[in-house]
Amino acid sequence: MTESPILRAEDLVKVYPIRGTGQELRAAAGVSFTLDRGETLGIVGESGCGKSTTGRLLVRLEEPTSGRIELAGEDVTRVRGRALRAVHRRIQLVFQDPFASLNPRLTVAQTLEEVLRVYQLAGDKAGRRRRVQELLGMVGLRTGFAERYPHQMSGGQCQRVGIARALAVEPQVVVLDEPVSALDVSVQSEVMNLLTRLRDELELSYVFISHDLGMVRHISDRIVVMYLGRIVELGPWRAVSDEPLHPYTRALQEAVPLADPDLEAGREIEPLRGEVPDPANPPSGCVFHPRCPLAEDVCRTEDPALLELLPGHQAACHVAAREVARAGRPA
Amino acid sequence: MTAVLSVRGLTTVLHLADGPVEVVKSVSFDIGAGETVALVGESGSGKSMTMLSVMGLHPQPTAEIVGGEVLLDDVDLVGADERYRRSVRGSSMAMVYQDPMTSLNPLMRIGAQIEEVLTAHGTSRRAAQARVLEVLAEVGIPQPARAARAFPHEFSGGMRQRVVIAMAIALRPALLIADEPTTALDVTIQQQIIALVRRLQAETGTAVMWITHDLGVVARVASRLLVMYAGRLVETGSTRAVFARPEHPYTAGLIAAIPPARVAERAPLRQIPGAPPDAAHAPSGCPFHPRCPEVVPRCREEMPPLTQRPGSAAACWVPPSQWSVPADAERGQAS
Repeated sequence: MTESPILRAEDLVKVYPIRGTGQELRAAAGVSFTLDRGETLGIVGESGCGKSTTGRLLVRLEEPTSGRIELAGEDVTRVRGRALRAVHRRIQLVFQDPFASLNPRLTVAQTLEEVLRVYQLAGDKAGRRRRVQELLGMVGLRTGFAERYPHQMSGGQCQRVGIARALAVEPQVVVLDEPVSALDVSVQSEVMNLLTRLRDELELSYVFISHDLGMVRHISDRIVVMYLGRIVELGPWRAVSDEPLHPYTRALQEAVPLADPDLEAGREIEPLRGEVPDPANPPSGCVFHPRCPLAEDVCRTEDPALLELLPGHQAACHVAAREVARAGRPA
Repeated sequence: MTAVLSVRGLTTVLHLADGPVEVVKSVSFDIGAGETVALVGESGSGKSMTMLSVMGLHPQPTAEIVGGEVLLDDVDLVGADERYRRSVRGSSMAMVYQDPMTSLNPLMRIGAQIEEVLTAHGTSRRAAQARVLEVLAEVGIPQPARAARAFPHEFSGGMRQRVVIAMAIALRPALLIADEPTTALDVTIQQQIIALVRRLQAETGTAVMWITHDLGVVARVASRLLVMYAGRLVETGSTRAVFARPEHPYTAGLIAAIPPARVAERAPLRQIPGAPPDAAHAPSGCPFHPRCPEVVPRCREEMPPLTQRPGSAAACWVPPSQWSVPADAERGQAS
């Protein structure tokens, strides 16, 4: 028997009303995927693609308009109160901005102890103290950091505290929303290595959300590519990042400059035309068609379904579906 | 190659409550006509302050240039009067910032703003109006006549950056200084802006100084790079040579900290312990020494000079042949 996924998102939709206009914005427009135990699922896309909204729905910071979220087989889509707190013991979120996500008036120890107290973990005060030291050790901070305030720490150190806070409840799943984007390059690698080590040691499952395809490629087992609230491609990390099926993924991959002048010199890159359309007024048919170099008539009228075109590798593209069926690979 | 810009020993201090702090420390470099040079650094490295000082746009009186020369067409701008500096800003060199709204007046129509740049440098109003439409078309803004009548808020971030570039190139400057112009933009829009700057460069021969923290952008746009750390240049050279054989441990660490592209096996990334210092708290000797895997006692005492080699220079006491961590260590294997 195969183990059931630790997390399942089924047709998640999140609609926000746009104040004063009567219009609405579909930030997530039918997002479905599973996360296996111990797996890292990367979600990549540009601003407005719905990746952060999806992350907030998964940890139930927001309730989806429709769809279903299962955590270890249990429907948690609409749980509230105590049941929601129980959900938060199993799934946690790490935010992008390490400074803004910490209370500036609390020391590191106070921040972590508060989480332990709220969830009634680690016993009494002395137990919580011990647990704080243990958590700091896990994220590679010296014990002296317990008494520091956020302004006394660097961005990388604050992000380590953010990770320690998420780990304080011993979650099974951690949703990481742009966890290294605000950090200097020389600090990003440390945090990336820390996340990888913690995942392996604590048998965590990650949803790693980022605009940075290079980072997503580095840490993910499978990658989801989102565009305008939809998943356009989903598959194994190497296939999605290096041999994408969807023309948007290909454009994204080509647009990312590689830190290697020899590889860059050999790339003939035609920039993707246009900009992401207004999500309140998405194009007909395939939402990518106005920018797509491969768009055909059918793309303007019919929204392509997300189909498994290669084993374990899905894409929502009429042209890719036809080409893979014909030639075994995209055009 | 004739240098458009020659910077010699540029030193800028910030006057803080505790006294003056050097944030740009004896920085020297040249930019040749039509060349693209990247100035690379992390937060607090002084890269933006260097180029603001070059432009004479450093926030005075808090910031003050206390030494060195900025030679533009062989005239030293540091010693020149403000009227002369103002006359070359915009016409001989222009700057594009990360946030386009730094350069745009939210209450003024876009056409009028570009026109103002032109008339301030002596273009007649009539010629300026024609040039506005021309330059908006050059930067790929659809319907230039309509765009000229619009306000900045009617445009997306990417389109606003195009407007700022139009304003910067309106007088065909010999040097364009672009300070993280794509950092706030999505990657597909970044690619459009990079392609635009390249095309303009090919058409007009403008030299470009691209200030960035992103080594991918460096590899894509620049033929030469300058690496800055704690207010100093620590390595310079051709982009290809520096990526292939970095001669400063900081540069080597930065390159190896980035996930390598197209590898089949993913290894842990190279880490640089600690965080970049801000200039006010720069360590003694070589400012990188507390984070450096190659540190020797001399590094704590004495700042190594930027030693010139043919086509490159590095400020490090320890030659790469003696490094304990070779520059290409810990990189994943390419497939």
